[in-house]
Order: sequence, then structure tokens, then C-alpha cells
Amino acid sequence: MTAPADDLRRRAFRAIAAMEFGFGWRPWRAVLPGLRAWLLPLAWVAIAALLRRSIVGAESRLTDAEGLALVLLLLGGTALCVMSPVWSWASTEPVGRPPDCGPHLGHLLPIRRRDRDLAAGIARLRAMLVGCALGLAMLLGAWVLSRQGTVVRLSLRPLLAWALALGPAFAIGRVYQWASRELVHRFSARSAGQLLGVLCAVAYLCWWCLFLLVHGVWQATSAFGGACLALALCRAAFARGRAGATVLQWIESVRAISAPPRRPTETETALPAEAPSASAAPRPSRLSLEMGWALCPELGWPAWSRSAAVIFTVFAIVGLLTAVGWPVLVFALAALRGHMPASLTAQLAWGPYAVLALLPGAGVGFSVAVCGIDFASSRRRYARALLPIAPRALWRARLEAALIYSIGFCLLAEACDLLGQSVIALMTHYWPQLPPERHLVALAMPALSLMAWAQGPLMRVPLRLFQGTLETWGVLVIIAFLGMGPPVTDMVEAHRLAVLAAMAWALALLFVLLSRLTIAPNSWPVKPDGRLTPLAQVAAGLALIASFPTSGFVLATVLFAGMMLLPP
Amino acid sequence: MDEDVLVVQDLTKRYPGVQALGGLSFSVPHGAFFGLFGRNGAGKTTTLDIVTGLLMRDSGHVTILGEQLRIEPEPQTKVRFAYVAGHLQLYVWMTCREHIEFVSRFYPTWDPAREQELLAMFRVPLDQRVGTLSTGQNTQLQLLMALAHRPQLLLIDEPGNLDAVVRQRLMETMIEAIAEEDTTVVMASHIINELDGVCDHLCIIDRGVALASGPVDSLVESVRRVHYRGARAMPLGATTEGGFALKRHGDDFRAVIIGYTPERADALAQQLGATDYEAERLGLQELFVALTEDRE
Repeated sequence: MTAPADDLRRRAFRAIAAMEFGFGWRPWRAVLPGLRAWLLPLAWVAIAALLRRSIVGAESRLTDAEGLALVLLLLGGTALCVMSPVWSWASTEPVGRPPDCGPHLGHLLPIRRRDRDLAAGIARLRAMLVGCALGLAMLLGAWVLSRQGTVVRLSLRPLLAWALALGPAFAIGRVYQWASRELVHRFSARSAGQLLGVLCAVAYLCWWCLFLLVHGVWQATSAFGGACLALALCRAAFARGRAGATVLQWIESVRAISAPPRRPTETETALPAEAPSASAAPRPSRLSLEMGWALCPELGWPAWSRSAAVIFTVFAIVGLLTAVGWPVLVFALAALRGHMPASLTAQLAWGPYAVLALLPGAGVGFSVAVCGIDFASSRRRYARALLPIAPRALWRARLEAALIYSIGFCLLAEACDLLGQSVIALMTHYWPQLPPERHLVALAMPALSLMAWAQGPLMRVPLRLFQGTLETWGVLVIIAFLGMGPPVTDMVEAHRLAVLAAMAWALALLFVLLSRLTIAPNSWPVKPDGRLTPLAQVAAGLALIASFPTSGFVLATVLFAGMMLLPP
Repeated sequence: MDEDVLVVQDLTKRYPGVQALGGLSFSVPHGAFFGLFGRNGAGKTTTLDIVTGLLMRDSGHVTILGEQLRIEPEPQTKVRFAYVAGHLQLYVWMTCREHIEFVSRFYPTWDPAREQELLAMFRVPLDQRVGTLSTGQNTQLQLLMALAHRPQLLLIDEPGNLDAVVRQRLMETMIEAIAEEDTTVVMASHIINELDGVCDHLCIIDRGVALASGPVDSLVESVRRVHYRGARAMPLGATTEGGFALKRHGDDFRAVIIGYTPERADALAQQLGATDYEAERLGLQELFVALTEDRE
């Protein structure tokens, strides 16, 4: 009666293979994530290039063939990765058991957990390799075309970089899977979330160290990498640890608002009236902000997909306005002055580029806000019916959330922008002779992002912000290496940019921290009266000081350690 | 074959701030239609999730189909049971047809003829994506996939949002499966009267502990509601051995005595100073309410 284990195992693997080749491909499945990941940033690259060429007449080293190849590479690779049913299966397969995953039919299927993980890993690897192989083939083809038959000289160095990037990415993915599966079950959700954060931070830092040491640009890039991932991880770790509590807190606040006013007792009426306590119930206008923070890490990708339309609309509108408006502004200024100085020409070139850098960050911010807004909207019927919140107050809260998050993440994106420039500057300083390699290196960045994305669970909850910044950076590097950004070759300039970048990071982090304080006024590190706790003050001060020695890594480490170690 | 297919011993589970299970014990005999009853939040879903390996327990022992559960059941065990639950996530991007096809390949005992029967019985839109199904359709899809591989143990958690026709067919199918295939059914529900006359064993749980467990007949036989007339006072120690819950009802007292014997009823009458009493048998619904309502 009992089926042999080997037979069941074979059967399970055959079932997964049959699904992959039997269900057919669904191209439309690729559209949304493909757009989200690459198409829009690339569209802006193209628009920026066109603007530069048509308006300024600037030389661009991005040839038509290269541009086309790049688009095809990224679109094709992404599409190939996500079109496969087995990709969808691997993405939805509950590998490990993070606490937000919930019971899934996949857990009940008669296949061992490690076999299921293995099958999902193989599926991801296969899909990704096919995508990357195709992309590389297209790139090489385009390269040959663009050089009119010039033989491509591939050195071992970028290949080694690829290998270094690939291996640890998967290794870290496995570590994360193990951690999410084992730790969460052995510890409370909070401590497990923090442990996960530490584990991922250590693993990623090791990865970055190894990768970047080989490339000889350790200092600047590690600053960037360390900063952005530490920020993401500390946020993620706390999100995981705190989400449950925050949601409960929100529910309590709703309950507090919903509860009918208690009739005061005789004793109470005899007492002098006290000012209402700040901790009694949050103001209605803060509700959607709390929801945003509380629900963003919990909602996962569905929230992204729901808010994708909004994000893209914002991207499109802001981008269009800027792309058109910036040159108009510059020309208007030039007309007022009566001539077009050279600096203005440079400004003109920088406009779309800078906005381009801001857009993904703004999108990330907006989408985070949309999580709260979306939740509020989906609960609107209930909110209107049950909660004593005027619709106008609810809308105000939503707008407020959108504004705060957008500004906050714009700052973050700006910091990424500056750091990206510093990295580019340092790379171009240390490694000026890069004709064939630099294209590959440039492509390694989005590939890394894609690989990290391909890890699925790795990116699902904790590293979403990291993904956003990585994508931003990837686009920046592409732009810079393909010659669309202004070349920065001076070491002094690079150093200056690095300082600016670190300062921007500090500001951005502080802004996020402060916005967090305003959002959850009764939670650590804020006292009930709204002031910072002493430890939080020290942490913030240290962060600010640490930002000046040009190392965002130090800053982020301080913040990270501070947020991790300080008591809630 | 006569051994218990599911044994739960001293099961505990704590969520942050909530003790979901506090030493729950019960056993499900082979071939039984077992009702796991409890009010909302009693711990039914937690219990079934632990039993099926979806959730880790804090302590306690679970034996499912002869396997002592460690973290999750082995594939050889998983292939012999099925779990239907409203909160279970499916592969939402697959169509129902694809989902059935995918799942069917995992089970050596999958019966295509049975699948067709069930398809005729349930309204499963085969070409619709799982993510777009209604709650009721989702449950029906799960039931189809659960029943088509003829499991030895079928666990169902609150089969919600099924229309009356489907619900009736489901009951008939399960009774048929018990009779013809020796299937054991465990159904968790908070609506006890819909299973009155269907389940032959039950366990009533509240706040993570079993209040009563065993064959329905003996349970109903062992519990009486006793009306005491002319009682003078409320006795101390209202929860004595065997347990009873006492309530004033006008000038009289009513007691639900678990483990009823005439001697116990007499003893309580003496304590109360009652002149007369009358013992009344309870239906499942009344038994459930009587056992759980006084634990507020």
C-alpha cells in the first residue's frame, strides 16, 4: 500500500518537469515583471539618449546596435526567465517557511522539502542561465556588429567577476532559505527576523568584499554596497520582527478609535480634565502611514503588482514632464541670458540623467506608500462604515503617506545616484583602459540584480529596498559605462562625489529614521512624548558623524548595529 | 488496521501573546467520521496544521497513519492523507485543469475515473485560473484533489462557502468513502449541528484543550443537564471531579454534569438542598453549547 520513497521522488520530479514542458509558455506573465524590472528604466535611457542627440547633438557612445542589443538582452533575459511555467512554480513554491508565507499546498505534496527546494533551485537556475546565455549571445552579436567585424577580446577578469558574482549569489540564497526555514521555527519571529537580517548582511558583505576586491575598487563600492544592503537589511529585519506587533498596534488603534466614548464615572467627572494622551489613540491622519509601514513587508509582491500601475503612471508622468520640462527650462534660462553657455549644455545633459536616477527611488517610495494607500482603499467600505474617520481625512492621510515616502526615497535614490557616480569615477580612474571589459562589467550589475531577483525568496521580503537601489545603480552604471553620463575621470572629483554621497546617505537614512519616528510616535526609539530616546539620539549622532569620513558603510553599520542592538 | 490513524498527545502551541493549544490530546480511530468541534479561536485549525506538518508544535506528540511526526510527515505518509482547508494557498497562476494535472502526477493512487466523477459532482471551472476562483470554488477544487487520490485519512478544516447541494454531496461522498474504502475523515467545524448524526466520534475543544472526546454515543450518554428544584444555595467548589457547570435559572438551578451518574446527581442535590431534580439528555448542539459557553 505504501509507495516506495524513490518512486515518489521520481514521480515528483517528473511532475515538475511535465509542468514545465506541458503547460506551455505564457508570454503575458513576463510583461509586468519585465516592465517593472527593466523596460521602463531602459525606456528612459533611450529617451535620454534621444534627447541628448536631438537637442544638444551630443556624441553618444551608445550606438544603435548596442542600444538595441541592450534592450533585447534585458527584455529577452527577463522574459525568458519569467515566462516559463516552472519559473512561476518556483516563484510561488513555498521554499522554506518564512512566517509570512502561510500554509501552501506545496507543503502537502508528497515530496521531501529538500527535494522541493532542489527542484525549485534547478528551475530557477535553468531559467536564469537560459536568459543570461541568450542575452550574452545578443550582446556579443551586437558588439561585433557595432565594431563592424572587430574581434571581441575577452579577458579572464570579467569572466572571473561573473563567476564570483554567480556562485555566492546562489550560496547566499541557500543560506537564506535555510535560515528562513530553520531559524524561524526555532526562535520567535522577531529574533528570527533579526538573525536573518544579520545572516544576510554578513553573507552579502562577504560577497561584495570578494567581488570588489578582485576589481580593485573596494573602498567606494563597498561603501555603497554595504550601505544600501545594511539599510535594507536593518529595515527588513525590523520589519520582520516588528510587523506582527505593528499590525496589532494598528488594530488596537483602530479599536481605540472605533470604541464608543466611555461614559465617565462620577469620580472621573469630578476630576479636572486632562489633556488627551498622545498614546491613547493615533490621529486618524496617521493611520495610513502606520498601515504602510506595517503592511509593506507583509503584503509582498501582490502589493507590488497592485500598485504597479500607479508606479508606472507616476514614472511616466514625472519622467515625461522632466524630460520635456528640463530642456525647456534650460533653454528658457539660456534665452533670458541671451546665450547658451557651455555649462548649460552640460546641465542639459544632466537633466534627464538625474531624473532618471531619481525615478526608481521615487517609484519605490511611492509603491511603499501605495501599500498603505491600497490597504486603506481596500478597507474603505469598512473604514467608512465602522471607523469614525472622515473620508477627507483618509484621503489626506493617503496623500501624506505618498508624499513622505516619495520624498524619502527620492533622497535615497539621490544618494544612490551620487554613490554610483563616485564608483564610476573611481573605476574610471583606476581602470581607464577597459574597452571590451567595461561593457561586460556594466552588464554584470543588472545581471547581479537579475540573479538576486531570481533567488525569489531572497528578494521576497527583506531585500526589496536593496533590489530597488541595485536596479537604480545598475541603470546608472549602464548609462555611465556606455557613455551617456558625463565622464568623470578626475580622482579629486571622485573623492568629492564620495563625500557627497556619504552625506546624502546620512541625510537619507536620517530622513527615513525621522519619518519613521513621526509615523509611529509611540514606538522605539521615540518616547511617548515624541522625543528620541537617549540611545537613539546617540545612534543618530554617530550616524551623522560617521557620514563625514566618506564611508557610507561605516554610517550604515552604525545605524544597523544601533537599530539591531538597542532594546525595543 | 484497527489502530488509531491519528493520535495527538499533550499538544501545545503558542503564538505571540496567545496560547493556541494547551496540552490537547485526542485520538481518531480507523474508519471513523471524527468531528473536531470548537468555537472560533479554539485551536482547530492550529491542530490540523500541526498534524499535517504545516506548522511546528511547541511540544507534544503526533502520530499520523502510524508515523511519529517529527517536523513534517514523510512523503510515504503524505501520499496517504489529504488536507482541505480554506486558508491553504494553491498555485494561483495555474488553471484548475493544470492544477489538477500537476497535483495528480504526485500520487500513485490517483484515480482518473474518480476524478471524472468528482468533476461531475463539483463545479470546478477547469479553464479558469485558480487565483480567480471564489472561496466556494476553491474549496471544491481542493476537495476534488483530495478525494481523487483516495486518501486513507481525509482532514477537512471548515469547508466554508459551499452551497447546500455541494455540501450534501460532500457528506454523501465522505460517508461512502468511509464505508467502501475505509477512509477516516476528520472534520473541524464550529457548526456542530450540520454533523449531528453524521460523525461517530468527536472531540470538543476550547482554548486549546479538549473538553470532551470519544464516541458520540457514549459522550451523549455521559452528559446530562439536571434541573434542580427547590434549591437553597449555591455549593462551593462548583467544578468537582467529573466536572459540572451550575447556573441559577429563576428559582431553580441547572447543572450540566459531565460523567453523569444518578449518584452524582443525588450528591449535588443534597449539596444544593434541592427537593427534586430531573435529568435531561442533550443533543450534540446543546452539549457543545453547554460545555463551551460557561468557559467565558
